[in-house]
Amino acid sequence: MKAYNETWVENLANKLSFIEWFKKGLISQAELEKCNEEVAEDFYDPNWFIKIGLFLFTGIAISFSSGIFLALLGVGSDNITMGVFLVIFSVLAVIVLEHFIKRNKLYRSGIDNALLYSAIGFLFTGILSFFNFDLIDYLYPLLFLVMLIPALIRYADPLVSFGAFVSFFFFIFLFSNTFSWGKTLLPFIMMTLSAAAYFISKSQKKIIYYADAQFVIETMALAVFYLSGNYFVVREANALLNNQSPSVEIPFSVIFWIFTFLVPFIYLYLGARKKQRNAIIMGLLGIGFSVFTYRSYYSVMPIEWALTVGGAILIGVSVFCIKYFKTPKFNLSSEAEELGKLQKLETILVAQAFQTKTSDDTFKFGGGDAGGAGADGKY
Amino acid sequence: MHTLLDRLLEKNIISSEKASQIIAYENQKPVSIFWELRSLLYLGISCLGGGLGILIYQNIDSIGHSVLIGFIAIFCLVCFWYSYKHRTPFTWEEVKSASFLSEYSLLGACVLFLVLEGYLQYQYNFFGERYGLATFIPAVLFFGVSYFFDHRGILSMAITAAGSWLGLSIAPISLFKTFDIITNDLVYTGIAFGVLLVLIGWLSEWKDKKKHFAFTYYFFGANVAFISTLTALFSFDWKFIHLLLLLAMSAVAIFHARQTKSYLLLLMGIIYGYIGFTYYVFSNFNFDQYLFFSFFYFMISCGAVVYFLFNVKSILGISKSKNV
Repeated sequence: MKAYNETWVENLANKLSFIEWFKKGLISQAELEKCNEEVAEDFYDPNWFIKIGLFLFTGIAISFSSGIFLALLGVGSDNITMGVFLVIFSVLAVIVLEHFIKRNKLYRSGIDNALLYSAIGFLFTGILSFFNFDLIDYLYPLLFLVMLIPALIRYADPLVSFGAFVSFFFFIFLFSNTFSWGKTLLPFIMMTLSAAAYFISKSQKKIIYYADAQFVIETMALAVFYLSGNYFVVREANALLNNQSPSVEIPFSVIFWIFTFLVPFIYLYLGARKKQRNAIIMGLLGIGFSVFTYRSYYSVMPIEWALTVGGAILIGVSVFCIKYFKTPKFNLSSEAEELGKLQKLETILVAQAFQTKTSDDTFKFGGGDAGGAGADGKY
Repeated sequence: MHTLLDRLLEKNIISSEKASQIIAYENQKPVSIFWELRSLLYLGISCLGGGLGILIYQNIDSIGHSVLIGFIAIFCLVCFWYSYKHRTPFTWEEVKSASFLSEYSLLGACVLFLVLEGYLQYQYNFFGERYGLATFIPAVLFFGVSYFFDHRGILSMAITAAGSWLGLSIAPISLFKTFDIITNDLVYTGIAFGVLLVLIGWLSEWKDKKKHFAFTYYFFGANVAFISTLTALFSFDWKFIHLLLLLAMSAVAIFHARQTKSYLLLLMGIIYGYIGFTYYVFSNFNFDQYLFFSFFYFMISCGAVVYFLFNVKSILGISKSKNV
């Protein structure tokens, strides 16, 4: 059933908790070493930059090696032949993938990710070309979903679970639109299904092998649940489906306004209570989107004042929270868990946001040559 | 979690006391919302800045330029003063416990300084035709500030300011736009500047002076150097010489990974080196008639790169220690 050695995957996760305990002084160095012996694993586990490189170059190699055959055989005119070859490529990619996982102990190392994604891509386009790329629109996501589920069960890849989730809801969306009552009930169908997805995934606990995939699905489910109850999304989608422009008031609008403002706060509350970081982040994003939703229909003040006041409030709230949660309260803490890693990235982003613009285009190298595109009096 | 602890208890690896401590820790462990709050703060600053900017722009006639410049100058000084008051004593090591407010006020002060400078030039033509000075001053100031207060964000601002002084705009995204108008001087300056930055980064690592600044130097330096060299390879004659230069730089990057076990430079070296090498191959051999060979080229060369990356530790003779 499972492509990767499940015990090793579990041990990899356990190792991380041992290191955390050691850093917090809960276990000693000797104990840490003994613990690590207990949970031995032997995955090929390179540096992140190496993984990126492996993914990139494996991807290029795969596309050109499949390109050789397609060019050699001169197909492309006949969809059936092309489909056969694509399916063969897909099978080959899976064989190579399985072989490498076994022989080289790969686990999300870039090589196996690239092989898996291209196998899925080949199979999908291959099957589509059997049908001459001519299907009813909701069958595309359904077909994709049917292909992804076995891949998800076997490889537990987070991106595959993302794809499966998206194609499922895309299918529901397109399929409901074929019925008139489906169109009307669409928001409620989406909300029910996303809630179901969330709770089903939650109830399947304690399988470390699928932990990342489950995390992706739960986070996406939270997002879809909020968005399908959001007034802006419902109203604009409704207008789009019924070809109205500009959008008109929707029935039951009160319910959607309540959802718009209630759901993010429920996320925040439950996120803090159950220690779910993804719910907290979705709650924060949701509040932002709710404010945007309100402003789209009821203009309270001009944009510049909204930005100024909103910015000031945001700064005030975040500074207050950083001070307030310094000592943990309500399961929340404003102290960093791991500093180093993201901070490096932050510095790069700072330079991007606040770059020295003083010489933008007005000054080219070579002393007095102050000409060029932007030298129109503005500095 | 409990099954894991039970297993450890059973094998007598940890005592039952410790196990209950660990359970207690896991139960009370808070969720860290450090990055969420930080992002909110950045968002707030951007909104406030943008909103104020529009407001001032609309009401400039009633406010008056000199009043505004005065305000910006005062704010800038207040921010500097606040950070100075809350500074930690200077050290060549990384400062761990800097208060976050002084960090942000320092950032604010530096951004305001740039705004002030631009404003003065726009309104009063303060620097006249000496554009170089307008970028040279912030570069020097920011380098000093970043070392004194130990602020990596300001360091990257200093590097971009120094780049603009040389005529390059080197913030990560605009880096690719720099070479729209290609001149010999600009490209070779870029190469020299990039190499210099990498050297500084290497020195700070080697001499253990602000070691944690090395990543920022490497990131900017290597990108500038590689992109400049690629531009030279694409647009100038003497292609073989430029290719050799590029490959030499890639080799240095790979060698650096062997010394330090950090792989950022290695990845950059391989990607940029591969692009340059492929360009050279294709510009010298006419593949139009032999389409298959170009496919084979990519297949074999990418396979070789994958093989190299996969076995990089044993090829470079780096001891096999797992990095978690």
